[in-house]
Amino acid sequence: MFIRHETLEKNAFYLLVAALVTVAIGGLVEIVPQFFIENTIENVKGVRPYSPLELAGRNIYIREGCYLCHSQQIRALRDEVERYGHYSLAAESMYDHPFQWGSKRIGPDLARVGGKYSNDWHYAHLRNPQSVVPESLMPRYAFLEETPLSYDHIADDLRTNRAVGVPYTDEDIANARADLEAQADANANHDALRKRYPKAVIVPAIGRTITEMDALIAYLQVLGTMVNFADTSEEQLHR
Amino acid sequence: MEEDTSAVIVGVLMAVFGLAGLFLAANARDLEMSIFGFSLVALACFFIFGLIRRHYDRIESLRVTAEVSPTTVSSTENKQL
Amino acid sequence: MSAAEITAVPAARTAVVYNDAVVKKFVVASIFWAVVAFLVGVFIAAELAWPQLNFWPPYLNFGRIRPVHTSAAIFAFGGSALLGTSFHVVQRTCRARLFGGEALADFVFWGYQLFIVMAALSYVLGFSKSREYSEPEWHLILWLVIVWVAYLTIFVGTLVKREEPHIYVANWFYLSFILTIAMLVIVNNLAVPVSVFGAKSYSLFSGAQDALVQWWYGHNAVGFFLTAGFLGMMYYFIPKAANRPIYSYRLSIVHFWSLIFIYIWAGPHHLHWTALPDWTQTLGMAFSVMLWMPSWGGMINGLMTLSGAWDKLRTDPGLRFSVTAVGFYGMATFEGPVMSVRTVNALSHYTDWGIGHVHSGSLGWVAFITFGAIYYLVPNLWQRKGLYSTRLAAWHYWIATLGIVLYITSMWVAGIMEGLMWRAYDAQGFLQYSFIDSINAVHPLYVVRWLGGVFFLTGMLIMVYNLFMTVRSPSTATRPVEAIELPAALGIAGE
Repeated sequence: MFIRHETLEKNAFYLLVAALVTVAIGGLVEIVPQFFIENTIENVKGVRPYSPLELAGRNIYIREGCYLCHSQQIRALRDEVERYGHYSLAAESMYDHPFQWGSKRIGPDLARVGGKYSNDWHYAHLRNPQSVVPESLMPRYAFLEETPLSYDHIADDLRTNRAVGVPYTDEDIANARADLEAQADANANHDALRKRYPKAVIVPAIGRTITEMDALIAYLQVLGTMVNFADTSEEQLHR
Repeated sequence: MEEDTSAVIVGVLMAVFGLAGLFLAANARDLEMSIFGFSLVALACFFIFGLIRRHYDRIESLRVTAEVSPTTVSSTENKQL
Repeated sequence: MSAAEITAVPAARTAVVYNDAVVKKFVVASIFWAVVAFLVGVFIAAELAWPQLNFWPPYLNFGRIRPVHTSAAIFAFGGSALLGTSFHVVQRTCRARLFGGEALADFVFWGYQLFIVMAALSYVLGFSKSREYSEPEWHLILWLVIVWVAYLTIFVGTLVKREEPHIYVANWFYLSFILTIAMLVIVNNLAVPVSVFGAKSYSLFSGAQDALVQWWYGHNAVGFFLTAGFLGMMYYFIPKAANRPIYSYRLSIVHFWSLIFIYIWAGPHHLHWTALPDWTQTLGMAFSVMLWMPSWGGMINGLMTLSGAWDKLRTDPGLRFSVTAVGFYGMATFEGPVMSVRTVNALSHYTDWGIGHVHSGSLGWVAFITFGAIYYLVPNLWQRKGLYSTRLAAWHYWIATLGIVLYITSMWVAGIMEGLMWRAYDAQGFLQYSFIDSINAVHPLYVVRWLGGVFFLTGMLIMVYNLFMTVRSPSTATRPVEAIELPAALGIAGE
């Protein structure tokens, strides 16, 4: 080549620099343009940041390793679209820090599970999956119902998400606790909540403290519901 | 001599990590951070103790070798696993 | 017991006292963590076959325990083996004692062990970033980076103070492994903690961009941690055990640079048909297919080194492990590019075929090359006459190999079955199978996979006993420190 290999073999620093440069190239070429090419994220309407209760539920999903068995990414393949719904758009996970696309299906894909089952179904399924699907391999999550949701610092979570680019407003952050409690209360006034977080599903924790299971279900019930595909043109989806 | 310099530098760094750990554990918001903080403290304590012990063990073994046979040149022995 | 090893050297050179203590620590750690990793693996395989075994929620639930297995296998077992062997190899091929003194080397050892233990504990307690093979939260990653900087310092420092003019090929691989892991870990873990006093953090990137960063990391964790690093191991321990020079210096150069260049681009093959842009997927696929060549270059170099020494496979079980490892390496690095083709991937993604592929690489290549290195190292480091029992090592070999075969074949069948069932249409044009049908169909294969794991674990326990007896038994009593003659090619590059 341009230099004799002997030069690299006889100098540790040349070898180090050459190796580092060599391994940096691929990442730079593949990753950097993702942030500059405009149509990486489709131009669709409806995607919004998670509500405080949904965010809390998402954190539980992450912590329990749900992504290890459930994917959240419907591929652009005919059978998949038929089984799960419209293929997933990049825009739909644009506020997911980190992404939850998953890499293995020991359970079905959850990208559009929102609204497919009632809250009650989710309670029963999470408590004891085999009671609803006898051959299921899923472990039990009844402990989530016995664990009160810890949300004293929920505003900090919104603030941190804002720091990494999620467009929470000052109003969102100021009302974080209130919104969380409203979403878990069937009798509360939901106007403000729905204005800030359209399509948020109320998961009532009637007469008891809000539990981790309430939060998880609020998260599951919003998945895949944000974009109205009937109202979206082919042009918007095109990349 | 290189061993002693190394031991001093690493020992000081471990002390810094241990103190950082104590600080983290004291202000920890969750169980994970408090366990991590305390484990840094524990590691620092055991590690620094180990450095000091090895230093004096070396001096001791040189002294013993010199006593037993004044003409023997002792090589740097690694007594621990 | 003295760790001083005096080499027979030409009069012009001084005797080197190597730091063997840290290598021994890492070897013991690697063996310990292997048992832990395989045991946890057998347990989670059992959970998938018999879900009643998730009997202690949340702590033993599959979702919390699986990362314990992957971290234990990759970082605890594999990592300890890499750090230990790299310290052994760099000293001997440079004829220099480790840079930085005993204290720094011990810091790397104990700091790394702390990382391992804390990571596993954190997953069980419910703290995870949900990034595969990078689950530990920010504070643990920060600690790992500190330990890693110390590791790089020792390794490069030793290269700089070397007595040999040329840097031996194994060190190119170890060095590229250390550097690239640093780059990957730092970028993939860019995140903002909610509070510096809490474990929870949010990733800097999101959605599709985040997916690409994660799989740029994830694939290259495989490419550099599990491949380049272990190729470094291969390049030392195979010629050492066979007492032959590496087959081709030129091939080493070509395959090294092309491997480390091409590997990095392969990440997108984990994201075929997803919302990742098409151009990125195509690039990833193209480079993944190209990757077959430098990988097989390494395989050829390793296997052909046995030229003229094939008979040693009959008598040296450690070498048998190493050579079989290279065979599995060739197999896995052919399967990978095949699975990277988008058409194939449309079937294989999300199925157990991926799991089968991972384990042919991790059990067949990574674990076996490590076993080969450890069977060679233990008698040498503890200055014993030889292995306590070559018969036991042979039993280990055959039981483990059977385990691997059961594992990968069951997963191939399961994976393809799942893929086909998910896309099957009946005569009326409706999807033929519900999701749970595919789970039912693979249940017997999950039992076979579990059995394969049991065999592999059993082989490991045999190894533990054999090595324990090697160190302790009077039958392998200390041999006198003797002059060691290096094979002609070792440490000296050139045709």
